Parts: sequence; C-alpha cells; structure tokens
Amino acid sequence: MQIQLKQLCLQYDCEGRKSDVLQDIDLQIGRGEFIGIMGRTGCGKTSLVQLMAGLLTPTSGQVLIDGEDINSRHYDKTILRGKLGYVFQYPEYQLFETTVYRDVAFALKYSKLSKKEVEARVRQALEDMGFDFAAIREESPLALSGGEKRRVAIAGVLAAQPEILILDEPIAGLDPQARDAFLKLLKKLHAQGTTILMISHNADALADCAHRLIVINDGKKALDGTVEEVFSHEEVLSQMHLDVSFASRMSKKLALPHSVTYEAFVQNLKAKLGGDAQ
Amino acid sequence: MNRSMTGQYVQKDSVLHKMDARAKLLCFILLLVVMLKAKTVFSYGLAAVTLVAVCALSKLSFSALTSTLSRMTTFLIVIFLMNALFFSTQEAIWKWGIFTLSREGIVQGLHVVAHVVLVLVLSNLLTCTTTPIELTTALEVLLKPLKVFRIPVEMIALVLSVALSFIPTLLQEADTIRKAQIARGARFESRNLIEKARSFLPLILPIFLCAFRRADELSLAMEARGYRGAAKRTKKAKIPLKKSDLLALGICSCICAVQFFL
Repeated sequence: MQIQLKQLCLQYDCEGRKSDVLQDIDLQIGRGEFIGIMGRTGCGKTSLVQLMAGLLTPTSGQVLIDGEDINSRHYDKTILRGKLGYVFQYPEYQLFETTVYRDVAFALKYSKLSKKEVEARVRQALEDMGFDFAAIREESPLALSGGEKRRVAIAGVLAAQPEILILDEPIAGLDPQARDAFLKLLKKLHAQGTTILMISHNADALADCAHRLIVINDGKKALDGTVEEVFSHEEVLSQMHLDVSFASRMSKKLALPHSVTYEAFVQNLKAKLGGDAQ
Repeated sequence: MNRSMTGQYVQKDSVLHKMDARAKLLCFILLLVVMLKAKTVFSYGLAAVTLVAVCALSKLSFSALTSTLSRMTTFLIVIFLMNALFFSTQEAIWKWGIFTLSREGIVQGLHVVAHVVLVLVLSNLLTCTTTPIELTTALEVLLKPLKVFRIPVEMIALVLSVALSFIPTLLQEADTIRKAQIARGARFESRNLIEKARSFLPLILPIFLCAFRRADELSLAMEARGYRGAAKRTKKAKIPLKKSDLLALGICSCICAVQFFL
C-alpha cells in the first residue's frame, strides 16, 4: 500500500470549542490507483488530502506513505515533497516568478538535476499542458489569461514528476475543451503509473477517469468503492447533496443495465434500441 | 493554520462584550493613560489591579489574553537589553565596547517592558471583546469632531472597516499560498540572511497580488451597487449610551485621576 491512513482525526480548537473536521478515517490506497473524492462543500475533503500531503498535522492517527509515518519526528519531509505533487484549487494564485520557465522550474530548485534535465522536464510539463515551449518560456506568468495561468501553475507541479498527484477541484472553471484536454492528460499520467487523487464535484469527469470513489460526509468516510458501486447508491448520494454521473442517472431512468460512463451508456442504449427493432 | 489567531474577537457573554463600543473605546484610552503613567510601585499596583479586574470581567481565557505576549517574547527581551545596555554610560556595572550595563538602564528597561506588557494585554482585551465593525463605528463617532478640519472621517472609518474585515480572508489566502509553495518544494528556512529573504518572495508576491485583486473586486462590487462616497450617511438606529456605560466611563476617569496623584 502506498498511502495508508490509520484512525485519522483532525480537530480545530476555537477558544475552547472543539470542532471535528475529520473523524476516524481509515483508508488504504495502492500504487497506481486513480481515486475520485466527492463530498459536499465543507465536508472535510480538502483537509483529508492536505493531511496526506503533510500540509496539516492530524490531531490523532497516522498517515503512512510507503510505510513511513510522515508526521514522525524522524521523517524527512523533503522526501515527501519530491514524491507528492499537490495542485491547489486555484493554482494560478501561486505564480510569482518573472518568466514562465522559472516558475515551472521552481519545483526543481532543490533537486539535484542538471540544467539540461531541468530544461527537459520543464519542456515536457509545459508541452503536456498544451503549450508551445519556445513561445511561452519567456512570457511573464502574471500577464497570461486565467486559463493559461492555471495550466502554467499545474505544469509547475507536474515538472517535479511526482509519484502521487493530488488535485483539488482542478477542472472547476475550465472551459469544456481545456477540461477534456486536462482529463486526457490525467489519464495519460495514470497510465504511466502515477497515483492520482482528484477532488471534484463533477460526477461525469470522475466517472470518466477514476476507478475508485471515496465519498466523505460530515468528516467521515461514507462510501468507498468502485465508481459503479458508489453510483448505484443514488439516494444515499443525493441525501449528501451529491450527484451521480449523467450516464448513471439515465441508465436508471431508462431501465438499462447500470453504467457510469457516457460511452458505456451509449452502447447499452444502442444495444437496447437494436434489440427492440428486431 | 492550526493555531487560532491572536487578538481576534472571541464570542463570550460578558459585561465587557455587551458594553457600548464608543464607551469602551473611551475607557480604553483612559486606561491606556493609567497603564502608561505607571512609574512608582503604587501606580504600577493600581495599573495591574485595574487590568486584572478588567480581565476578570471579560471572561476571556488566560491564553486568549496573553497569546500576543508569548509571541512578543523575543521583542520584549530585545527592548529590555537595548535599554539595559545603551541607556546610560554612567555608573557602569559592566562595560564591553559600546555596551554599558547600568543600573539606570536596567530600571528603564524594566519600565519599558512593563508598559509594553500592560498595553498589549489591554489592547488584546479591547480587540477580543469588540467586533471590528463595532470598533470602526465607534471610531467614526469619536472622530466626528475632526470634520470641522475637513478630515474625511467617514472615509477613514470605511477604509478601516474594510481593512479589518479583510484580515481573516487575507490570512487564509496567505496560508493557502504558503501551503501551495511548500507542496512545490519551497523552503523557508535558511541560515543565509539574503537567501532567507529571497525564499519569502514566493509567498509575498502572490499575497500582494491577492490583496490587489481583492481590492479591485471590492471596489467594482461597491460601485455596481451604487456606492458614491460615504458622505451624508445616516445610522439605521441611534443608540444612546446606557447607564452602565456611563458608570464604566466614570470609574475609568476616577482611576485615571487617581493615577495622576500616585
């Protein structure tokens, strides 16, 4: 298991009043999984992934990454920084350098890579995000458009080539084309062996990419299973103010075999129509 | 941020919380004089007793009242040493180069530290028991006489209230940016001073941009809702000072007067 959470609790202490953000979360995530995380606003999903990234310290419980407790005193967090990439909700706000090249290379500042290797990685990351490397490298990141800024910022995380990639609402606010391109890139990274955890409200995107879904409700793990399993509990999800994918909802309405992705739904529908016609 | 912020409004049900902000601000100024006028044992005693009494009235926890102090420890030590070592060159107890440890200096240092501690706790009391909105409204009322000199009091009050209400938002954004840069491998600890200053660039620049963006959005939002300067604004309700507020003002004035004779 690459990531293990054991009895993880997180509490905030506000002047004597304690509020539980997360309670008793047990979770095991294997290498190379693509996991979607769902939950209504304020349920604790961002806190959960920030705990995994070592950006928050749990009140009790353990976070083990590759078998090592990341909050133990002897753990060197720089190892974790090299292994794990984290794309924040509005990553464009973290840009600060004078050129796009320097901003993307920032993540590699403390790595022991040669200049050539750094350039190769920056080029790769920018091209993955759909940029023309030569044209963009000397631009000021702050002068780009909103969508471009976001892609540059994500490239800044990808340049470190993390084994684990955590994304907090990465596609919110992207136009459909940019969104599809981005999901395609995530699939490619996943195929290359990256473990991906993606927080999203977009059930269709999750059905399209993720293999496993974890649903957080009121600081507790409510559902955990394959996308098909989780989306078969439509009522439970709607009580938590969550949605299933379009395909899942439609296949239920039309009494078709349950499917979660658009492609599978279309196939089932065609099969049904074809069958009726005969 | 895991730890809660210091000097921020804490909701409690106490006499101090219920007090009118205008009266509270005036009392604060009077007590500030009491704290700063302390010079002798008796006057320090009076200041300390007054402060403890007000603290007790506030029902705030010990940690809420002193949290600012623990953060300022280094500052307090530094100002003490500066006073102790540089204040006087006579009656040196110990001398080394430009440093002269003198009795006078130590006394002066203790005075300064004591005054700072008293004032810090007192201001903590004010900000922990008064919401920023109440505070700025009170300030606006108390500054009104300055309008005679064509000072735009309403504008100042608006600027203050906007600034105060954006502190938590900006702190939160700063925290997010800090985390984002740490996740990207930024390191904020370095022995080299120039390196250290440089390493804060990834934090400071985005935070500034954030603040400007917020300011831009807010001004647009205000204009979109028809805001045309704060002139001739009237209050929804005119609340007169309560008897208890006047009583508090009276007591504070008495303490202040006594302090001048001690």
